[in-house]
Amino acid sequence: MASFTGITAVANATTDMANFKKAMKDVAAHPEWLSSRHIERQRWNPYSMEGGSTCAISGENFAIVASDTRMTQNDINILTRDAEKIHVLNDSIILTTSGFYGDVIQLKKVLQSRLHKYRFDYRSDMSVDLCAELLSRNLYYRRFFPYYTGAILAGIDEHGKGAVFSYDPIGCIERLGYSASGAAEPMIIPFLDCQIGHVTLAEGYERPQLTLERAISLMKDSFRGAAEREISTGDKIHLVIAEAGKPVVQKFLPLRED
Amino acid sequence: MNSHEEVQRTLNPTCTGTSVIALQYKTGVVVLTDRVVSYGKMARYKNVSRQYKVNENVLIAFGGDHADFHGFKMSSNAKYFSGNASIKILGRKHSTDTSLAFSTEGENFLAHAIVKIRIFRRCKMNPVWNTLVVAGVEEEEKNNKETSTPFIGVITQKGCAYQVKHIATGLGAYLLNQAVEDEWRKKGEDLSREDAEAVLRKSLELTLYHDCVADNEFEIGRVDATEGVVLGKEEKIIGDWSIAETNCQYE
Repeated sequence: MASFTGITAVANATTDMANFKKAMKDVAAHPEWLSSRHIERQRWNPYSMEGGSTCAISGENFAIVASDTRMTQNDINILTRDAEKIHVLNDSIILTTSGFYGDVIQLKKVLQSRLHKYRFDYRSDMSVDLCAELLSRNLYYRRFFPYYTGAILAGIDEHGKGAVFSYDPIGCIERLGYSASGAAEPMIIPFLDCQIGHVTLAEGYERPQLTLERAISLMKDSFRGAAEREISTGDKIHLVIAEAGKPVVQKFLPLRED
Repeated sequence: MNSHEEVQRTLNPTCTGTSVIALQYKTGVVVLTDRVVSYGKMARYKNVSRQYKVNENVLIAFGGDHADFHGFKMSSNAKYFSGNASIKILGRKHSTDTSLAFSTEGENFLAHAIVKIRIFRRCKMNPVWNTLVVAGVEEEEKNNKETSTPFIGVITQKGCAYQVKHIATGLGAYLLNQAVEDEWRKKGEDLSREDAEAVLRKSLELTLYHDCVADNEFEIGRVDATEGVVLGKEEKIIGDWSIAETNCQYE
């Protein structure tokens, strides 16, 4: 750090001025009170969380996906009560995401163009298993500036069974029986662990069958419970039901608005 | 913290506009903005229109950095959408399989393009520091005014875009969204233009009392299915300040 040592003879005026300017800049840039926490705060954060939660359950021959439709700003301000968080990409692939909505839009567009290209190349729709790997790789392409989303891909796979694939923001892929992501994830997953995974049920007891009706009812209960306590979840449940051999059905169910 | 870096990339907005309030009514959209651009808390530039007519069907209003919006206006992106009459910008079947930024039913090509630009700039950590409200009327079939639906899309500086039926941005988001929504729910899609404008004027009055960078001179622009885009005339309201006398710190 150059130090300003006072004005000397005219011949050194330029270097002195340069040193002075540098010293001023240094002091402005590194004042004593500026801790690293302040520096971190002053940087612009390219992400913003829009809130909301999603959940997906797969069964023998169906997969259902639900999300709330509320979009919030800073968690407290509701921007819209009709946001679309479930994106039906084609007849057998449903993408649902939560997190930063700008990245959700981008991710959806990337996937759609890849699906479109697949359809052009192979003349048939891409199946969920292939799309799952594709999504995982696309998330990892942005390893160093991630898509800030908890994505869930659901659908009917090639063998007619329901499939739910869950991801972390950089593409760790896992095929599960059920998954949730978003703000209410820590509320919904334990509930589903108990009711679908039966982790709390002792060995000898009979486990109830996971039918479509039971799955839908569990889904509604999870969201109603989450909306009670979680501020960025609410307004409506957007429910999408995919069954093997039938077209995708979409429904909207009411939820608390507060 | 090199002071030159901040000048090259907009990380702190300088001259900004505040809230934009927009509301759909039966045959179109009304958009209200005030006519001041503030330099921090100082009302630096008055008589500035924060709405921009892009073409016969689209009106864009901005909140946030004025310079960034001006850049957008002057750039070729805006010119592309305003010039060519033969391109059906808001035509629904612009590309059959590409679902655009907004929901699958409400496709708006212009908004789609803007969102792409936003996300691109934001990924370069050089955001366009505006919250844009894109208001327009979409024609389901070419030249058939009967089936046109009003459209409001909001795009934030980070590239987040969503479609709404009524919106208030900026500080208005905290103050006004519920008030506007209550009015909207009373009549829903049967709001007439006069009703919608009355709601907006009431909302402006609220921002005037609570937002220190809002101004009392404003304009209401509209996009109507039959009239196209009509930019508003300047209007002024004074508001009711009698409550000031009950304020214990008012001398």
